[in-house]
Amino acid sequence: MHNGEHEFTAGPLPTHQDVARDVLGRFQDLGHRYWGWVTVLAFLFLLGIVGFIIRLSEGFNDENRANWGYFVATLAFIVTTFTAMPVISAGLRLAKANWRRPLTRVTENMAITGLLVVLMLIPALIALPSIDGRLSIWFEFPLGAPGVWDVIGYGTLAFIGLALLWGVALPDLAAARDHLPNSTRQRVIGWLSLGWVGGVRQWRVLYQGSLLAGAMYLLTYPLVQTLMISDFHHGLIPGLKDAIIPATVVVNGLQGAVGMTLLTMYLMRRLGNYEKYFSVEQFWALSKPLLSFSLLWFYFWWASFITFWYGRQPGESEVIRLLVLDEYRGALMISFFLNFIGPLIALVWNPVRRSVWGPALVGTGVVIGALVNQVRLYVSAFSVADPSQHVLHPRPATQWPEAPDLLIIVGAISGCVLLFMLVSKIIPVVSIWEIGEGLRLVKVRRYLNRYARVIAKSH
Amino acid sequence: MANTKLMGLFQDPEQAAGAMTKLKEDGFPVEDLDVYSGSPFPEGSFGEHEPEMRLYMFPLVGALVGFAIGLLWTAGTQISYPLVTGGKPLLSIPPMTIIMYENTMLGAIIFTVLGVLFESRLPRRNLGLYDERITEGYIGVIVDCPEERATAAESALQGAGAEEIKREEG
Repeated sequence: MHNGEHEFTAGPLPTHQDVARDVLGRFQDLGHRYWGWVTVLAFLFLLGIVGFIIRLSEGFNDENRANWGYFVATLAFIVTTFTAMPVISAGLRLAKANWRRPLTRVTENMAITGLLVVLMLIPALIALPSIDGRLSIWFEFPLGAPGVWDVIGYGTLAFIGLALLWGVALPDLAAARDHLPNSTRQRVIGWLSLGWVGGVRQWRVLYQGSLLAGAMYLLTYPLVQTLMISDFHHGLIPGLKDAIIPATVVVNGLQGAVGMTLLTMYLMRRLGNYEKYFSVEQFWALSKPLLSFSLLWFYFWWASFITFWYGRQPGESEVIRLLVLDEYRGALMISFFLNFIGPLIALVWNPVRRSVWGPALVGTGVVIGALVNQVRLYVSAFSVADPSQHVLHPRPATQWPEAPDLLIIVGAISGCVLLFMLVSKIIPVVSIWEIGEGLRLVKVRRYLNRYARVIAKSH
Repeated sequence: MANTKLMGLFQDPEQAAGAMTKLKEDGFPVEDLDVYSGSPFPEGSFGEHEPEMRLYMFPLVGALVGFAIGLLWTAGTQISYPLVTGGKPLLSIPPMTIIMYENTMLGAIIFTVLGVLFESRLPRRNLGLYDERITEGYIGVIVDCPEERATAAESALQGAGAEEIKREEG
């Protein structure tokens, strides 16, 4: 009933009309600042393409497979953070969390990064060695594995994400169609709104359809993470037999999604003046699952590690030396601190959780930790000279990023942000209809000596 | 006989609900009434007709079709080209499971998209009787009635406090 920083007062809440006018006003304005950011991001994205072309010119031979390690780690990072974000809105919509309303669209707009993921997947698959003679989830099934099935799996996730994004945005596209001045942009938006008018039947279908598409995204995301970790990590390191690693990367993806959502909301507050939509309530509410996922990060890592530690077979010893104790120890320590220790120390304190800066800072750390952890997992795997051995020997040396790798990392991340910014000028970044619906369900009432917010349950 | 469509525009949802009640009392069938709004209201808020929908059938059918394609694709190819490796079973179940799951999800989402478009009667080229204020929070009460009852419908909407009444000849 009380958010810690703002006591509720008896003042009137904004109306649907206020929200529509405010959001569409910002949406309409394509100022110099916006184009400045788009230009910078496009330039960085082009640099990433330069880095990719340099790697491409070196080819896809088994001898230089290690060159693609950072490319694959970047791909895994995008899947673990940006592309995981629609999971947040899907889960919160299924749970009918009222505080979700201002942030669902931000997370759904990130579904557009699924397109970049599918494009990046193709060279990553070409860089993979043949599955003949090495451990793989594809066994001896030869029909196009892993390439065809990975592309179908990732493509399905991207398609579900785009269907979710477009379907849920139809009412807001209609609002933009109705209120933007006549222009090419308005006509494109009008075409995308498909003639939505907001009748009873349309709302019922939208409600059910958004739940169905969200549930499908939730069901497909673990599949994609399983394919990623199995094909690009687990199957490339001889002696690595980790039964829970698919579950580990799914939990890491959920943590990355929450971290990236917090970071995005913070940046939108600071750079886009969206303070009234992304308030303490959203940061505070998201900090709780972030703390849970951080504890699970350690739990899953520990459960994997302890198996190898007690196993002590020669192959297992080499694996933990590579991933934990020697070559990638530094990367693990950074990730260990940013994904577990840091969030634990910070988020157990109520005043930190109940603030904007606290969860945003921890979320930023989680995102950086996720990147470093993907480097540990995927660069190490791509450095292995012969994945068909039974025991990892010799262990590959630590591989530091070269200039093309840095360009690829910066370029791909900039590409994701660029796509988000571009799609946010077609689809309003705050969901007008969901906030409008939420406002009708909220009343501020006098309760003893103070005011309390009463939220009705819809449906 | 030609039908007429009328739309009463209300800023207050209470008035829109009152208009719906009045129209039903005046003998307008609930199936001929509709409510346009900028955000969804809980079912039955206006006493409106609940449309019959079978959206849930679409993902179900799509999932079954996708699963069947995945099964036929994987099992069919392995049975058609039987290559026994090291005495192991011909059908490699674990990778088949992944492929069938992928196809199930793909079928389900394709059919869901088709289902959403079909059930919500989209896309439509012409918005018909519509007002841009609806996406700003106004409520539009739509009456589809024979020409001779249009005046009664109009007075019911007017009596409930409609800010404006629009008309479209059928």
